[in-house]
This record gives sequence, structure tokens and C-alpha cells, in this order.
Amino acid sequence: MGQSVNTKESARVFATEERETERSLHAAGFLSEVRANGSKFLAVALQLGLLLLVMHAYQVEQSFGLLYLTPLIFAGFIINALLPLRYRLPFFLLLSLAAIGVVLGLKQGLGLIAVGLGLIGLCHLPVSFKVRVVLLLSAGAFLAGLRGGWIETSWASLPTLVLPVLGAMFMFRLAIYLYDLRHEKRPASLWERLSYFFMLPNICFLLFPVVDYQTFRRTYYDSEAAPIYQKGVLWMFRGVVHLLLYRLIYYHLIPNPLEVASLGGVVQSMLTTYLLYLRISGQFHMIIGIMCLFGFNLPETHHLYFLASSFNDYWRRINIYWKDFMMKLFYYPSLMQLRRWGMTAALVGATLVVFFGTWILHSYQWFWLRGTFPLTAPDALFWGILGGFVVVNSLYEARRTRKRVVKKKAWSVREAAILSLKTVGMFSFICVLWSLWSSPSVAEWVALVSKAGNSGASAFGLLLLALAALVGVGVLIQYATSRGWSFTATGSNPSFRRSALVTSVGTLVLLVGGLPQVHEQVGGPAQALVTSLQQEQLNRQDELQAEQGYYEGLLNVENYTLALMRTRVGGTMPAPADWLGLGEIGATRKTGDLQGYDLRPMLDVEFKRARFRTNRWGMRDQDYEKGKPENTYRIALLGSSHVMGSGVADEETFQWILEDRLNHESQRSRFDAYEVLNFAVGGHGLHQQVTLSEKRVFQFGPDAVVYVLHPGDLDRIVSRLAATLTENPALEDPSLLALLQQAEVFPGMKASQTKQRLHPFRQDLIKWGFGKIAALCKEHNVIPALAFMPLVGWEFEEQEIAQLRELARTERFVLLDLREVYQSHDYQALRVAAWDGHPNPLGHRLVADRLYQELLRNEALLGLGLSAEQDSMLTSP
Amino acid sequence: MTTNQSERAAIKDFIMREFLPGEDPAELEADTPLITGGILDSISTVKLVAFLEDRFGVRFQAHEMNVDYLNTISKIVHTIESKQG
Repeated sequence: MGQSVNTKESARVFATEERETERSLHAAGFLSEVRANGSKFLAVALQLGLLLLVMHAYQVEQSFGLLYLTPLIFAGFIINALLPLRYRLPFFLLLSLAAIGVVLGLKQGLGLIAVGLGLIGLCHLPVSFKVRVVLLLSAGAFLAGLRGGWIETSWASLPTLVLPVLGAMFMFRLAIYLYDLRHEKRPASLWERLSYFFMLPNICFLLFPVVDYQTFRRTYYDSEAAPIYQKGVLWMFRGVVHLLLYRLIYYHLIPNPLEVASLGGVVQSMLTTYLLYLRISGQFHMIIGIMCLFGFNLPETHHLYFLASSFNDYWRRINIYWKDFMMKLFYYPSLMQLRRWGMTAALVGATLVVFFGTWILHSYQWFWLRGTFPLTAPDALFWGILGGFVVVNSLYEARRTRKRVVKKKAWSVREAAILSLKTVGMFSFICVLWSLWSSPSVAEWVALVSKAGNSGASAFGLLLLALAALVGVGVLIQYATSRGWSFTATGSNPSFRRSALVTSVGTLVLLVGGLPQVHEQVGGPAQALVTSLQQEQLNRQDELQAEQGYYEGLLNVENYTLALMRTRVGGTMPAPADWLGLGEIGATRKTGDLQGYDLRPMLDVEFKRARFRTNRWGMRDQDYEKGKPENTYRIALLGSSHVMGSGVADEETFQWILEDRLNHESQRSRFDAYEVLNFAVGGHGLHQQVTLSEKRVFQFGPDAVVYVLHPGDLDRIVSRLAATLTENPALEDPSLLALLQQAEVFPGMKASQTKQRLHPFRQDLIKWGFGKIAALCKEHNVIPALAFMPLVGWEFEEQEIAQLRELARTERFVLLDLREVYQSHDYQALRVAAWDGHPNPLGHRLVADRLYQELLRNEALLGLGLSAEQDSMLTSP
Repeated sequence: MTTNQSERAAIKDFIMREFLPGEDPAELEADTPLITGGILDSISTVKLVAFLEDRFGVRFQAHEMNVDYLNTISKIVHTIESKQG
């Protein structure tokens, strides 16, 4: 049994320390603070105000609800600073609880607080420590059952909204709290205990630094208040800078993995994938900055992690709080147990425990935030490789003393070159390893890396040259630093004045640069760049992936929670729990062929809060006879969810409005009636339109077939076909089979692999699909037409439209141009909901109007007979 | 030299020898932060604890390997003294 520090003696020391802290705190009481530091508080408040304006102007982490909190943060900071010390912690707690209510709503907020209090209460039950641990584990298992959907609850938002936030607050902190509670020397106040769990920024940032309980307590107003507040705004500013840099990379620099074709592309992909971590460091800076505003003088969470020079150095610099957490709960306890086998065995064993634990705990964290417990090969490889290198590095360091310095060392070219070489090498290695971690599978990562083989020796030579140049730059920077130059705006421990100057100038630059009047003056790419940085959105690849996830959810109920939390964590407004996919409400059925699924006939359900009915033929439409009535003009409409009318009522779809208008406004028509048959099904791609056309559309005798295309369809065609092929459908079309063979794609293959292989054949697939629909139209004497319809907030690109037009003209499609339909409107006013980009009733009305105009414009080609004068102009397809 | 002073000297000597070779001993004071100041990392903390256990015949527990007990030479001396009773 080891000796622990004498408790009485410890209590004496801590009581002394506490008295010292108290003294400094009371010295910094309101009146004396105002007298001594009034100008400093004013300066911090001013910077904070400016910074919060910047956050609004750039929509910083808006989807996480951070902007809801800005008034609370600003007013809370002022009030907190003015309150006497003894009221500050209770005030912080109340503010944090209020924030939970603001972001989650009253019911969910109260539920979260109640469950949280229950968990904290279990830690303090007057039973043995072991019993408390068992009770907490049981409670955790019950909550996990709810989160994972294994235990059912009538409260729909509990597992999908309340529990992820509860998890973010308690999943690690509860373990630290319990550990420290066991060894607690200085009893904590109720406010300290509760504030630790319900920290103000946690409600917005689910991925939260694992704040240590002792550090949380120890650093509370541990020095003069004004510098802590100033540190807070500076760190928040740093957070904003990191988050904007992240956006720059995410929107503009990260390549589409499917389009990577050379060493340059591979390097760009690996580099940008690693740099995306700026979002995490940005969020963590923001979180700790906000905490500092309320007196929690917490240490930094990251320390120049791109400049790590060894594996251990990297582990110590990136996510420092995580490292400390693992050291405290895993490393030291394991090491103390294992050291009877010798120090080397203990070091190796404890380090392996830490990395194994890190791997499992990352999946555990994923479970609470997103509802699944992934244990993937890239995850295991990443942590295994990193852990292995850290073990080797630790053994090396244990044998050879790592030199520390308390004073600056003299400049040496050799040492600078070695450090620079190690730093560049480490950065490059982590880029490669990180890309493996970020890949959906090892096979996809290998496929990506193998693209480098397409480049010649000169490309590799150029890469080596670039790395050597980086080493040289590193040496120069070290030399300049040794001569007194500084390459950071603030340095590691800036003075109040310098920190305030950097924050003020930085926020003003961002604020002024973000004003439309300013960047509109500049115009061109710079204006487009600033505008993009001011918006929080998904990039094109992720828009496609998000849709793919959503569409996969159509047929798979279990995917819903994942899809919902992907939305929550991935960066758009959270969808409510009743916002279910077609598959989840049982509106679809499998077909077993290349169509994959269709709508069940005779449905009358609520879909995304709107009435959704289907006719006896499984169309989202009113009922029609299969045979076309006498003297009637029929249009068959093909498309996906935007045409089907996701989120709007039956009579609000543009198809319904268009049909009404054709029948009411065409008084002089040569037809008695017009019918627009809606064959669209949410999630259907080109191959599904082809199958539908082959099997059903022409049985209804249409005069025209209008296929509605959207931006991104060139890529979507590939991803949806890949998704269908995983179901191993019956493939009958010889031309498609030949195409798949050429691409070396086989039914049943993994969707990700299929996508990779089909990507180069996108144009051929479209040619195949357009050709099939055109041939069927010709065979049935029907006019084929293509409508180019934008998505709300996503316009066609010129190159994309040129490609589609070219292919459509070859097959003699009539082109209906709806591209400008949303352009003069605020996109937000056209979305069916903040979390769902499908058009709302107004959007559908606009589409109906525009499509009507386009039909009139092409009346002669389509043979619509809308005006008697034009009868003579009718042409056959 | 009192016991306290000899303990301080032995600890300082070990830290200088193991972690700060070639540095000026005057730079390392009784209140120089060792962990928060970056002089001690996890491995060197383990080495230091092994030395303290050997030298002073005390036993450390896992939860004591942190800034509360080991951040300065003064704290280390205090920790050892309280363990020795």
C-alpha cells in the first residue's frame, strides 16, 4: 500500500493557498476593480462587443446555436465582472442553465438538467465508492440503451437531442469527477460542482475539451481578473481565425477525392484533410476563451501542433486536455501497477493502454454524439500506428534525456536544421496518417494514394524540393527568432496592451472587410471569397454526401439517428425528431430491380409535416386512368424529391399547380384537358428514371416526358447507381452491363468502391441514360424534354450546364430552362425548413410559373396546342 | 544544512542532472514551475518519482502525479515530508 500525502497537512497547505486566492480575489472586488482596472474592463467589453459582431457577420458556428448565446455571453460577462466574487459562480451556473433552455427549449432543457443532476447525485450517495460506480455504470447503460434505440421512449427528442448534449457534458467529466472526488482534499462548493458539468459553451459545442476538474477549480480567478478576461477575448479571436481558415480550406481547397488523379492531387488531399482539424482547434479556443471571460483561467488546449517535432511532442501539443485526461485516468494508474515488471515494461504497457483507450473512447464519444459505435480499420490503424511510434519515442526519451531549457539557447545552424527537418518530417507523416484515419476504408485510402503513381519522377522530385525548401524556411525563422524577431502576433505571454491591440485590429479588419459595401467595391474573386467565408454551409462534395446519407435513410430506419446527428454535428440546423425519411415512415417498398424502390400506392400519411398521398399507381398525385382520356395532353414528370414535393402538401407541388394552370388558363387550347403525371420519387437517380420509363411511364400514354435535372446530378448519378448496386439488383440492360464491366464494377460491390470506379464513366452513364429515355420516347412517339431546375441555394455551374446541354442536344431533348427561378429571392425564404433545403410552397409556385412560361416558349416543339394560332406549327419529335 | 535544505538540494541536483544538463542551476528556483513550465513531462515525472521513492523511502500513488504535488521543488519537499509523517 503506497503512502499518500498526510491529509491534515495538505488541508493546511490548501487552506493557506485558498486564503491567498481569496485575498487576491477580494482585492479584485468590484469597487477596487473599477477604480484600478476600469479602463481595462471597458477595453475588454469593447473588444468582446466587436468580436461578437464579427461572429454574427460571419455566421460563426451558427448551426451549433452559438449565435443564440452571444447576447448571454456579452451581458453575462458584464454582470459577472461587476458582481461581488461570492455571487459570480452561482451567476455563471444560472447563466449556463439559461443557455441550455435557450438552445434546447424549455422541455428538453429541463430534461437535460434533471438527468444531469441525477447523475451528479449518484456520485454523492452515502454508500461505498464501489456501489456508486456500479450505480453510475447502470445509469449510463440505461441512457446508452435509450441513445442507441435499444430501449424505446415516447419522448422522441430524448435520444436524438437531449442525450447527445448530456453525453457531451458527462461522458468524460463524470469519470474525472468521480476520480477526483475520491482523492478530494479541499471540499468543493455546490456551485463549483454544478458549474463543472453545465459549462456555458458546452450547449453549443458537443465536441468539448475534456476539462480537468482540479484544473477547473484551481484556475478560477487564480490571478488578476482583467488579464484573464483579456486572454478570453484573445482566444475567442484566435478561434474565429481558425474557423475562418477552416472554411477557406473546406470550401475552396479540399479536392474531390474522386477527381484526384496525380501526386499533386494526393498531396493536396492529404494536406487539406489534416488542416480541417482547424475547426476543432478553433472551437476549443472559442470555448476556453468564453470560459476565461467568466474567470476560469484555463490553460491552452492546443499548442502549435503543426510544429510538433516528434511523436511524443505531437501527442503533447494536440488536444492537450485529452492527453492530460488519459495520463490521469489511464497512464499513471497503469504505470504504477506495471512498474513491478520494470520501468521499460511499465512504460510500454501504460502507453499501449493509453492508445488502446483513446481508440475505444473515440468510438464511445462518437456513440453519444452520433448514435453508433464505429470500430473501423482506419481508426484502429491510426491509433495503433501513432501509439506504436509514441512507445518507441518514449523508450528513446526514457533512455536519452530530452533536453529542456529554462533560458534561450544560443543559435546553432545544425540544431536549427535538425529541428526543422524533424518538424517538416513529422508534419508530412501526420498528414499521411490523418488521411488514412479520415478515409472511409483502407481500400479507399490505398486507391487515393495509388493515384500518385500516375505522376512521373519529376513530380516526386518537385515534392522533395518543396519539402527541402520548407526545412530551409524553418531554419531561417529560427535564425530570425534568435535575433529577436517575432512571428506571432501576440507571443506566448502577451501584455494586456499588445493582446488588446491585436484583438481590436483583427476584429476591425474582419468586420470592415465583411461589409458588403467594402467587398463589393473590390469585386471579382475576392468578393466571392469573402462572401463564401461569411456563410456556413456544406461544400459540394458534402452536400452530395449529405443527400446520399439522407437517401440511404429512405430505406433504412436505423440510419435515421445517424443521419440526424450527422446533420447536427456536420454543420446545419438540427432537424426535429419527426422529420423522417420516406423509408422511415414506411412509404416505400423494394422493387428488386434497378429501380430499387418505389412509392406504395394509396398512401395517405404525414411526411415532413405535410399531407402526402399517392394514387393507385404509386404516384404522388391525384388519381388518373391508365388509358389517356380522349383529346387530353399528358406530360409525364420524372425526377426526385424536389419534383415529388418533399415537405409540401399534395396540392402545393409545382406539378399540381402547373396542371391546374394549364387547364384554367388555356382557353383556346386544342385539347380538352391537360394532365401532368408525377412519377418522381425521392432519391431516384437517372438509372431509376430509365427503369421507371421502361416499365411504367409509357403505359400511361404520355405526349411528352419531362425529366427534371438539378445541379450536382452529374455526381449524383454515380452515387445513386452505386447505392442501388449494393442491393445486388437484377441487371438486364446489355449496354449498362457493358459499361459496368468496362468500369470493373460488379453488383454487390461496396458503394464507395463502386463510386470510385464509376466516376470516370459519368459522361458515359448520362449518355446511356439519356439515350435510353430518348429511344423509348421515339419508340412511343413521345416528345422528350429536360428541365434544368436549380436547388434552393445551389445554382448550376456553367461547365456543368454546358455538358448536360451537349448531351441533351445529341438526343434531341427539348430544353426547359428554369435556372433563374429562385434568383431574385432570398433562399432562406424558399426553404421548406431551416434544416431542409427542399423548396417550400412559395418555391414550388415559382417553379410552376417558370415551367409554365417555358412550356409556352417551347409550345411548338412540344405540341401543347395551347393557342389555336400555333396549331400549324406543331412538329413531331 | 537542515533536512529540508538537504532534500531540496538533492531534488534540485537530480532535476539539473537529468532534465536540465548544462543549464545554470541558478535558473532553477524552489518555486520554478516544473510541470506547467514544461520541465517535467510524463516520462520525466515518472523518472523523478522513481528517484524520490528510492532516495526518500516513500511511495507515490497515481493520483499524486500532478501539479498539486510535484509542480515545484517546494511542493515536492512538502509532499515528501508529509509522506514521511
